[in-house]
Amino acid sequence: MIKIDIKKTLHTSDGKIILKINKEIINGDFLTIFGKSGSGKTTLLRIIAGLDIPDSGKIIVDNETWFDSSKGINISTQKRNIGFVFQDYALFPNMTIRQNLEFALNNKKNSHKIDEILEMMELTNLSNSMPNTISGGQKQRVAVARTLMRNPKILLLDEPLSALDNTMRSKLQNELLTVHKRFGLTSILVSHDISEVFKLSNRVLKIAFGQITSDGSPNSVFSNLNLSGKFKVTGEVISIVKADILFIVNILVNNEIIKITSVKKDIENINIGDNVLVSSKAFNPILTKI
Amino acid sequence: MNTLRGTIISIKHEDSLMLVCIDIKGQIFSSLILANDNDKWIEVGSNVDVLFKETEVMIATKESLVSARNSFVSTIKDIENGKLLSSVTFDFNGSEINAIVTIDAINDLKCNIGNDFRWFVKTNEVIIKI
Repeated sequence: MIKIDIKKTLHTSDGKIILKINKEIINGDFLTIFGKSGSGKTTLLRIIAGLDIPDSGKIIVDNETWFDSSKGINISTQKRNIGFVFQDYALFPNMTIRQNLEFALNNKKNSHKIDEILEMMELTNLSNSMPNTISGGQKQRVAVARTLMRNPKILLLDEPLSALDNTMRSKLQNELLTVHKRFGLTSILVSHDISEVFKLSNRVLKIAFGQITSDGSPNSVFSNLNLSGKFKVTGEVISIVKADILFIVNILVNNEIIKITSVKKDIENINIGDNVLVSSKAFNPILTKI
Repeated sequence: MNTLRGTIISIKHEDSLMLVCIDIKGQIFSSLILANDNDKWIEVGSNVDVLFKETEVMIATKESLVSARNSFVSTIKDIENGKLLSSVTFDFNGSEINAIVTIDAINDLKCNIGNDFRWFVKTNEVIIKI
């Protein structure tokens, strides 16, 4: 259990805001912090990591106090049992992939662990490559592998996939889920991609101007409504094409385009680029063995 | 989509199926739902929206017997023709119901503005929303 009760004044492009969070995160959760830039989401992640210091409050992880302003406690980042993955990978450019992982290992005798993780992340063939010779997706995989060397309890992910193309993004999302489950992690992701939130997390904290505005499952936070349809996916509107008196809305869902018919009045407020919830009843889809 | 506001008046369960009846201005609508734990908000007395797509609405002459439980006779208020399809608007106790069917069907049934026709939608095509 992670208990966070903190306050910090932030100076953002929108002016001064107070980041004020009082939440508990259950072990094993995959939690997403969702909000616009300048809402305080990355700062919250950095505060958990010990990279930013709150003005006041407490952070308690499994009964261990990481931060308590009233008692002057502030455990250093190195002593917090976390892994942090950034958008820009932050690999050492002058070390091979293997050396990058070795550097993170606490006990150098444990080198079999490097092999194990390299294999699991499909990086064995690249172990002697330098970071500048591998792709963005591979670099991010190395960054995730490196955090695993220290057996973290908590994985902090700051928009780790936002620089990748859709195919690589989807693949790495699956890998993050596998790692999260296999290592029994509590993962906290900062993201502003709704489909990613649905795919990865079981809980979402929506944050605006430093305050949590909603807290719940992706469905309850994003659909803003209770809808009885059992077949629900979210995606991005790619195009809207007239077809006789109907309109065909093309929606990108997990790298595939799905087509939905609609009437004019239903698409009046829907624009290209909008995120939408597509729902249907469990009775409509037809199954065919492949 | 077609949207009507009503109140849940009864719920019947069988295994994971729920048959929910909704009172809409004195007319009873039925929705067949696959129930799960997230559907606790579906309870008698809740005010809900009943949703169904225009393309799921069928039209028949007013004397017809049909298996669809949501079957009502209403006056045609408007007909808008495309090349293949036609959008027929019914006046359902002051609310508009849209049916999108082929123009051939409209011609065969001889639908015209001002006529009374039966429109219907199956229970398993109806979504409810709070």
